[in-house]
Amino acid sequence: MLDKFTVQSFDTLEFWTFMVWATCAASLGLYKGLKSISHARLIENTPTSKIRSAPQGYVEIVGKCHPPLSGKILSPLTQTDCVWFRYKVEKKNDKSWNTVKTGMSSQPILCDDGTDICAIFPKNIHASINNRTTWYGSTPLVSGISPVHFGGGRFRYTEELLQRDNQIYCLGNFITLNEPLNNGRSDNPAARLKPNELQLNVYHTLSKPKDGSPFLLSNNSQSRLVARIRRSGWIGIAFFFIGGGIAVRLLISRFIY
Amino acid sequence: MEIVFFVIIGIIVITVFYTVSLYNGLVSLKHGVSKAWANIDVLLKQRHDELPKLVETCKQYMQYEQETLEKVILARSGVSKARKAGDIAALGIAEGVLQKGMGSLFAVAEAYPDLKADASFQQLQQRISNLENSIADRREFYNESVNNNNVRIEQFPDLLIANIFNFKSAELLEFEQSQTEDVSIKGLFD
Repeated sequence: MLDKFTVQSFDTLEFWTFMVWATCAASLGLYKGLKSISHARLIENTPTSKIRSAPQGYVEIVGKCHPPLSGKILSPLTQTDCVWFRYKVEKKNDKSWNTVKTGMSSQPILCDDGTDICAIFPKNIHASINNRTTWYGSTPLVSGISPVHFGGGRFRYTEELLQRDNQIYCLGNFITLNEPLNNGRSDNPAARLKPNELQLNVYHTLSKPKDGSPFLLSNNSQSRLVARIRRSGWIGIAFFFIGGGIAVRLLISRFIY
Repeated sequence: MEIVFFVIIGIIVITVFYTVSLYNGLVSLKHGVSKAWANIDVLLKQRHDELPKLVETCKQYMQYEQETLEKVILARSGVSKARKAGDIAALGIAEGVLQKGMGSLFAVAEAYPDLKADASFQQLQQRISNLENSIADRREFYNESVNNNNVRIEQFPDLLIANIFNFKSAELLEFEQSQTEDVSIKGLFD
């Protein structure tokens, strides 16, 4: 496909456009691939901590979703009672889907591992949730839609939910506070909740690590999560080889032969 | 031909990055084990400081239970020695003896209503009980860190890096056998 005659027939703009695309694919593939493989190892290498005695810093906790005590959390699309949601509404334009609206619950997720409760602040979290529903419709309406497949609607709705008692796996920066979250006097920025937002005395928080380590939330088991991340790593490496191969081929066909 | 050359270069680049990542992973596991140990050590030290206060409080009420109290003090110093020496195997045994001694002390305390009602005793008992729970959790965490480290350095390809750079396996912190045996109900009534 990319023989020297084809490459030499490209004008300068075409040639460099292809070169930039191929080089970007290779560089991004290499970066994402190595990063994903390194993250998979980090997840495997991080031991599970019990909340009541977890060390301060980067930890892994496993537990069940505790009901939010500030009342019900209803998902915006299906009005389902949940502890966390993420949704996306997309519109079909020609062949591609463009996002019309997207959102994620910002309420802390309470994780109970049987020893204590930890409040996970989902801002900037990477959530891998397999409780996902996708359906189609003909209106951009984003409230009160039942998850029924309407056939070939121009709008696509996707909703991911975590519900009470769902088993969750989290990795992040763990902090134990001197005072419970809901007294509003804590120095921890993650702990600045509105009055009465949390009626339970929760002393432990999990938030995004400042050193760039992954901040993960999943309802998959650790092994499935690692397999998924590692698979995306190998896809990145494949992009590196394909993109890099094309770039090398372009350069050689243009400048050497 | 040039594609083959690129693939070889690509494989070399990825191998170099992957080797660095393996090495860094092993270093991180090694430090994880040290950190997990340090986390237990802090709690052992806190309990070491609390135990004499408990014994002193008990002494005021339990004049005829000197042997039980001495056993706790001796076991405490056994744990302290093993802890300071960083001897994991000895610590596991000493912890077992101390846990047994503490169990006896709290069982005997049941026969002293005045002691049980003492606010200071209640507070210390609660504090030590919380420390014991935390030690148990952190022991579990330490053992998981050790297990992650030991599995990694025996697995391919980490094994190659571990052998070249002399990464060592760590020792699990295991309780003395008597701790994990089932309680004999018959023995309690003898």
